[in-house]
Amino acid sequence: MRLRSVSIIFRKELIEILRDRRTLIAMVVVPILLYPVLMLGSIHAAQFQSGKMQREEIRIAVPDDATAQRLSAEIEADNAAVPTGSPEAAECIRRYDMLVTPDPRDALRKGAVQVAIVPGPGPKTWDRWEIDPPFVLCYDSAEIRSEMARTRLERVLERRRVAVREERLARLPEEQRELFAPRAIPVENVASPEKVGGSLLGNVLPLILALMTITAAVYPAIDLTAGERERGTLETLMVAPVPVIDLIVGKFLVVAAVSLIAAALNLASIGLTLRFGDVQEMLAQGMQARIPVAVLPLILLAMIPFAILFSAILIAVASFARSFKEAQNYVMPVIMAALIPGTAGALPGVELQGVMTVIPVANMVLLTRELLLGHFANWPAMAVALGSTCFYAVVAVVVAARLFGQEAVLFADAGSWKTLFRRRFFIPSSRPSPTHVLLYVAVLFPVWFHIQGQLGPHIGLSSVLIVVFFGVLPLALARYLKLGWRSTFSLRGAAAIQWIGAVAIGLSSWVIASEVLVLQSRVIPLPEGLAEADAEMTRILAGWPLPTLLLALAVVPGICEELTFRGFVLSGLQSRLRPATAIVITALFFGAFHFLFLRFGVTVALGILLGYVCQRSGSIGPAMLIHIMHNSWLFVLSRWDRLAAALGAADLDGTTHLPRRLIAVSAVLIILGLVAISRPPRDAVPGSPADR
Amino acid sequence: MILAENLVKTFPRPDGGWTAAVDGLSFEVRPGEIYGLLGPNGAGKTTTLRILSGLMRPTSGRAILAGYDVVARPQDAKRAIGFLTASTGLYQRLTPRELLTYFAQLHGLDGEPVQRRVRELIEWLGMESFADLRCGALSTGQRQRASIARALVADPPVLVLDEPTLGLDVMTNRIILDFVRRQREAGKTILLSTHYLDEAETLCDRIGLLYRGRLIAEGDLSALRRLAGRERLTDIFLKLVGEQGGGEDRLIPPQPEETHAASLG
Repeated sequence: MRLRSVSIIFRKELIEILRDRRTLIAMVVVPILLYPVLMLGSIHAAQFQSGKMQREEIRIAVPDDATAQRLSAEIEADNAAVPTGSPEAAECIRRYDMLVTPDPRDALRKGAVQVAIVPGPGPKTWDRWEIDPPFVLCYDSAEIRSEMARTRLERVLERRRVAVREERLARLPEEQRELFAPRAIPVENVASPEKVGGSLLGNVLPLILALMTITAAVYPAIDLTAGERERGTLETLMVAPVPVIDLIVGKFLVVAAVSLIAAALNLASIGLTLRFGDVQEMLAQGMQARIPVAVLPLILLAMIPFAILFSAILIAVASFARSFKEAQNYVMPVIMAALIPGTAGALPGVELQGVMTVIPVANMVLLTRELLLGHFANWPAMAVALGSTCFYAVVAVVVAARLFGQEAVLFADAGSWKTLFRRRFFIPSSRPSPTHVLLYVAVLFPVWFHIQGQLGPHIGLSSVLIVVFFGVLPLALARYLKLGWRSTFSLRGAAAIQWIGAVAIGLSSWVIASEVLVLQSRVIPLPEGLAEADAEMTRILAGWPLPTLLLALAVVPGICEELTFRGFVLSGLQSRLRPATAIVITALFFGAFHFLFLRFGVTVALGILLGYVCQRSGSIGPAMLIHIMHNSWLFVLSRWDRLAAALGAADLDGTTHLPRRLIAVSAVLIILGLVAISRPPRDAVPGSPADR
Repeated sequence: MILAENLVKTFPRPDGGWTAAVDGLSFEVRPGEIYGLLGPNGAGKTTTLRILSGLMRPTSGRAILAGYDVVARPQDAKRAIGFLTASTGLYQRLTPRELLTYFAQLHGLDGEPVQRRVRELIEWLGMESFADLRCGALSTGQRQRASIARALVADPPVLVLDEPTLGLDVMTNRIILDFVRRQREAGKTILLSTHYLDEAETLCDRIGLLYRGRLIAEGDLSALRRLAGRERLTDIFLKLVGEQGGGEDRLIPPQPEETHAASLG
């Protein structure tokens, strides 16, 4: 990828797309004009409607004239008591009409009135309320007007009830007052006005913003890919001496820019509407609320990875289409698919934690809500959400580059798109491509994250799932894609000296890893509860015989994880990237898949070591051996007390240093092991440009 | 120069078999020469030109452009080629001047040379009156002139022209053919496919007759006349194709595990 050609393409596409009326409407006009109009309009309409209902006459059915008189008196008293202009005043019943009928319930059922008063369980006269009130307030919950009338009449009667109660309390001698039920429980809202506003906005804004950002990206994404094909300019572009990835990255940046501009304009428009329209109070409906306008720029920052992800996905989907119409057909399901996790994220009670941090769209909706609520302490989860979104975006861009300008898309006569998916059209190749690898990781990552969270201490089930997802799946995928197993999984023999080197490293790597964790705990304090969780785990594992533990937690993960990471992933990345880059990226995936924040650094380092061993030896065997031995040590030491004591490693709690001599010997062993493995490779080594 | 060696391109058929659109095609085009690829519809002309310009991968065989293998060194080969088809579209919302600048930059030109080259082409092709209008507002002839300028903007040594005069009026036709001749004088290697036999007769130095993916005859006009015993190219064409006619379709039977097209990988 060359920066120069990307920027040439970016500039040209931006000019072209900005000259298009449709983009400008979707990007600029909609947010700037439509938004405030819609928002203010709908709120005013709602307000007008509820105001009208409040001004409306309430019709009340009563059984007799006496009740009618008493009720009128209560209503008038309430009207007199509530000062006009207070928030409560809107609830007062200014206009009402009494219907005296022997059967008020029937009048209510027939819809002649909105509420009815019927004789209640208490005394028949309104002068004496005793314990039960002398009436029952009837309403029809299926009628919105009846519901509203009930609320307002209930408030008037409740005022009377409290007055009766206080009057009686005052008459009682002090010692008898406790016979009365306690007063209502006092409730106080401590949320700051900003937080109330944030929560009001947090329910609606993230999803709206997400939708607006996606919508703005749809048209340019289609125009720059399928549109190019439809207008016949794609052929000439593909003949230009520019790699497809440059074209796609340039186009993708334009789409991302357009959708970000749209997101910014949306946010600005919302901010201004909230700031200067009298929307705040209407939204808050009497609550003390202030919209935290200062957070809006932060939300824009959070929208960047989201816009990037969707621009990339839309470009990938539209790259696949031969015409505008076809692209629109493909894009609709994508937007619908985005809406499902987006709506899930917008549900009340769903929080940014666990698997939600890595579910695309949902995590960004939740992240926006956290920002609006000011939950900045949750930054690790926010970081995971941002990071995973960026990763998915990279995958989508790479896939888009793979699809864009493909023969099957470019020319109708080159066979249909089936050539891209039907196995019989696949060209056998020795190793997977980076696209395969990235797609595989992007799909497996959230799935495994979820499984990991559900699994708990079922070591049997866990090893079965590891075999399925990390062993069988990559092997089956390699078979489906017609890849060479030997080169994909480095299934070759290694020299004896390299096996010896692997044993040396396998014997000592745990010492260094444990020591690094101890040093790390000095800088990053261990979170509370970790020791208890560890102890709990140890207690569970103690119930299993050592060979079972070693099989389930060392041998199975050692073999399967190597097949996936040093096999499928590493060989796929090496087909395009330099070996060192491929090894580091593989190790980062390896670390991410372990979902242990504190061990991430150590796991990545181990991944780099294993990648190096596999790359140098040309065989996955030594890496598997090291991985198995590395995993085994913890269990071996916990069972063989005398060995642990002899090594000075009886106390592996993550905070106690190991003996210096042990560390020194281990370091020397690792270096010797690496030297042994680094012997000049034989002729066939993965990473040599054997194939494209 | 252009060198095609035993090019084969097969496409999947709906019934699971494969059709060979180009079937073992070999030819050579030298600098300073216009080579005409002639053939009826479906003979494989367009597929051949697409392979040469790197838009399609040959199933087998080799194509060399200006010394670069189009499969192994695609970017180098593309840098050497100016490609033009009748169906070429232009960016509707750019002006011809912007369009030319864009493609010049994509070919690696930069700064003042780009502007000079663009001015030069606008002058040569008489595009002054519409160089700053949006392409969407141009007439067919104006568009085709802009397309030609686009193909030539990086001054490539090889020109591949797929029916460049299809659907054009006499005037524009003349401008374009004159331009092609001038490119030959400048020493360019020019490969041209056309339906218009009179055009091929007056323009091409050598002609290859393509039928069902194979070259059935090749040579300059006099050689073809001798071969067919006819005077006019149209008659030569009909005679030679007629001799081939009635032959069975060379279709390859279904081969489930056989793999030809690209995969998602």
